[in-house]
Amino acid sequence: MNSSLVSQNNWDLLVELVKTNFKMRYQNSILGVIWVLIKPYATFVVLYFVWTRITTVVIPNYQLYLLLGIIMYTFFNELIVLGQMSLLEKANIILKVNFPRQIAVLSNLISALINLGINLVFFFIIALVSNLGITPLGLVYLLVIIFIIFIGSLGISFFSSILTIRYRDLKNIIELGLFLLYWATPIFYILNTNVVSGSTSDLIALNPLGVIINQSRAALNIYGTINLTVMAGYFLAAVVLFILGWSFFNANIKKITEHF
Amino acid sequence: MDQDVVISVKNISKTFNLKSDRKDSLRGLFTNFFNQGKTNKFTALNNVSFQVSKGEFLGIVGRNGSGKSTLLKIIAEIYEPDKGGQLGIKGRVVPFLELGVGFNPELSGRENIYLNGTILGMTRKFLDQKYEEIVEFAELAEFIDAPVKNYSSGMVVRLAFSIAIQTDADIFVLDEILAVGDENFQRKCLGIIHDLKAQGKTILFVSHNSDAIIQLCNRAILIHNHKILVDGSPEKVINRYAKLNNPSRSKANAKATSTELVKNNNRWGNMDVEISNVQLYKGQALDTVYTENDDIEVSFDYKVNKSINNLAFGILVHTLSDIYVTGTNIDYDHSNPKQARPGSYSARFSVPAKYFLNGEYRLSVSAYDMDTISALDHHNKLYQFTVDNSKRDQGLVTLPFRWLKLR
Repeated sequence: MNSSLVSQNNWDLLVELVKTNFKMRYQNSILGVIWVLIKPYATFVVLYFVWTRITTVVIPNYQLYLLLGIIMYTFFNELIVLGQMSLLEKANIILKVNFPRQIAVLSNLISALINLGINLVFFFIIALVSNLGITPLGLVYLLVIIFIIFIGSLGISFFSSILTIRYRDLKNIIELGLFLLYWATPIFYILNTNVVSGSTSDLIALNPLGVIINQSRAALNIYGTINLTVMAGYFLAAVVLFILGWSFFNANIKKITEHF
Repeated sequence: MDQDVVISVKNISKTFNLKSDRKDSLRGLFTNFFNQGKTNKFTALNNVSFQVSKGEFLGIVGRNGSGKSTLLKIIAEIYEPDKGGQLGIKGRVVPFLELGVGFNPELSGRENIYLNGTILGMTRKFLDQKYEEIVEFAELAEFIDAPVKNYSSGMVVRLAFSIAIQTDADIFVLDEILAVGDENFQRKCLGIIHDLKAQGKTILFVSHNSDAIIQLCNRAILIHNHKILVDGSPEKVINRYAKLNNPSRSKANAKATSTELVKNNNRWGNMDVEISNVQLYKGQALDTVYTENDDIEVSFDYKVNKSINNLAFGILVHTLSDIYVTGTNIDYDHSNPKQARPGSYSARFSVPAKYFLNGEYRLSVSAYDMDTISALDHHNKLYQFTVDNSKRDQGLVTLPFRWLKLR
């Protein structure tokens, strides 16, 4: 299967599945794709007004700090949730036809990637108005960061999509995990300020998602500094996660069919 | 594998863990952790072996729950068989399982053609070329932009079949495709299946339609209780299958009286009267093929070994797939008493062929003692004849309808 995975048909299949995801999500909805924007931007509006009222915000461009944090977290959240459900929601096809199942997982993650793209377009419009000093190199760095998140999440999804079929509890566990992760990640708050301090701050600093989101902020010159050494480590970790997930997936996909 | 063998199933078994023992939740995982040895297994397929050569048209019959679907899903590489078995598949398999191939009900017919087509391994470009053909074959031109959830089951199957046959596959797995769809579409399906056969494609054909199995397949297997019970000619397999489905009838016959002598499955009775030399005629010539203008004439000899007070001859007609078409008793003698004295006699009867639909039939000839209602000699479906009727009525028989008023 590996050798034939890259083919015109599989590409067309991927495109069809991504298209179907979109149609399913926005069918019979009046606002349609605009919903992709509404969620993060509504969150942004609420958090921004609440947070700037109860604290004295210490950094310039806090609105962009917050907005990028929400967008990147939403991206990760979608990758994990859609990746986890990718096999289960396609059970009716999987039980009838033998096609490369990896494409089912990949298609869901690409849907999340497209949503990120839509969100980022609006983000950059705002960033342009705010006159941020975005450099081409910074943009490349942001793309690398997105790639790292994507590949790592793909690795996770190769595990979670299969394990969720076997153990349905995993859906609740991951839901809870993502909820906790939201609070443990510097999305609306800022590490190393008076708001979060001391050992709590150190603990939160260990959260990889927090590090990655902060690096994306650094890439766009919003907050913090670029740390290539750390990101190289994350890059390696993401690739390893992907390889492990890939082999786990291939070893177990056939066995899992009867558990749908 | 041999050069010609495209499907090789060797010692394949499939065991499922029953639902109650599924560790689908983590609680289940923990509660079952300490008694994992006690799992409740269900064997859907038990050590099945067979081979299919290129170009073969293999019929698969068996009752619901016998393991047919599991076998097909293993061949379609959806289920993984238990360890120890060997499965060899040469070429691309296109499955057509359980009436449909996983459409998305919310999407339109058009969108599903592309989605389903790519899932089955076709490219978008190829589907663009075949799109018109698919829609036309499915007879769905006016509904193609409506969501599939609004389709009737027949429409869904038509669309699914139309897409599936476009695949450039080597092996087609067709599960009950003739069960849905109207007569017209079924005829088209059969036409396509004939084409596939002519192209030398290998086809696995699951159907409860015995006639279709006999007409289309050149070999069949009967799966019963998760094993292959018979592997051989379609006629042989269908015969055995019919007996499995109707054990009560043959058993009742076999046990009609205690004195009864069961010769074999095709002939039974106590032989107080012996029937022999049953011959089918068309006019004066021996023939078994009749057109609607012919009379089916049957002659037989019978030897009365012991006086019978109330002798009757029974004539039964079945289709090849064992549907009971008609049966009658001819009293031995219309004058009283209906006695038969020892001796050798011969008899001849006729029936117009025009009442039979186009097809092949099997004739039973029997002698019964009507006082005890016991079989003296029963020749069960031993004689075959064919009716070539130009009338295309439907059902079991064709009757002389007359239109008395039309306007």
